[in-house]
Amino acid sequence: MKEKVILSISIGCAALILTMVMFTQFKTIEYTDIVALETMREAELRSELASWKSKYEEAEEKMEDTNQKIMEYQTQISSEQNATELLRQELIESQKTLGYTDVKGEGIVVTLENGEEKVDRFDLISLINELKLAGAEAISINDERVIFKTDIALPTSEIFLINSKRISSPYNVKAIGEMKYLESAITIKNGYLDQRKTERKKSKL
Amino acid sequence: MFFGEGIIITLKDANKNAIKTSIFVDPNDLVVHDADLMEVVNALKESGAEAISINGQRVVDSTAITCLGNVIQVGGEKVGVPFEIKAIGLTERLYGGLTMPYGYLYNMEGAGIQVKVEKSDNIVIPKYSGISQFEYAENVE
Repeated sequence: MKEKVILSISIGCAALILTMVMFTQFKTIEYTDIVALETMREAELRSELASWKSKYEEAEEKMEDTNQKIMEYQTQISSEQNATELLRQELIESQKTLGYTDVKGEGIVVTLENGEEKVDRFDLISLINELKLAGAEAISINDERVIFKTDIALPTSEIFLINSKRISSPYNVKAIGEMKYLESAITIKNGYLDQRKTERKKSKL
Repeated sequence: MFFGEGIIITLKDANKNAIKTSIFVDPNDLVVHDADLMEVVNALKESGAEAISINGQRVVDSTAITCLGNVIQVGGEKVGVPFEIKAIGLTERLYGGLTMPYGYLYNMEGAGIQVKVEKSDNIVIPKYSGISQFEYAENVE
């Protein structure tokens, strides 16, 4: 009987201790788990945030770099455009000087026509020369521009070759320049038109 | 400055013997006129000259040739006899074109003017010394 009581008491003690231990265990587990999780999460998030932040900064830096490069290219392009524009203008000026562009302006139109005597080659050559002397800037004969290498050839007595193009009477000689000078150079007493009985027309181009 | 093959034409007024030998000669035929230079320049262009100068004056687009009494004005500069006309181009063609029978130089020589045409491999033609500017002519767009 005495033995039975001791055994049951000891078992009860052991059970009590066990439950106590179990409870403390449960409690500590509960407590530590939550805190650890929370702390772990916070740290992780923090580090993740930090890494994202650094990534963002990097990306921003890269974008700035690219933007700067784009700006550089744009300025380069615009400067190149300036250069090409200048070159183009220079080309147009050169072409104008050489007579490779159509031009307009004030001037005179002289018409030479075969009368009792034919207009000969020298009439045209000297007319062009007179016009040049009077400061003509651009001359054409029957819409054939007279430039630095223009010749007037005479394959037959009816047809002239100007710039290797055939023309015949009447000859429409147009000249751009100061109208007064051009007109007086041609109409001066005993001048070009006095020497040749030709029909004269004057008009503004 | 241009450099290349071509011909050199030298024109001189007729010498005194020519005047003495013929009484019926027109004195105007014995001197080189502005018209003669114009004709020669035109003939050179016909023969395909790429650059022409008269006594060192480059003949360009705006060059006018005028009589100025006893001298001739080429593009604003006075030049006198002997006239040395240089032209760069295909030598044979220039030479043939300028010396052809009953061509302009042939007739001039017949009138008593001293004409000399030489071929050359190294002709130097100076650049145009004037300026070319436009006050009245505008480009048509």
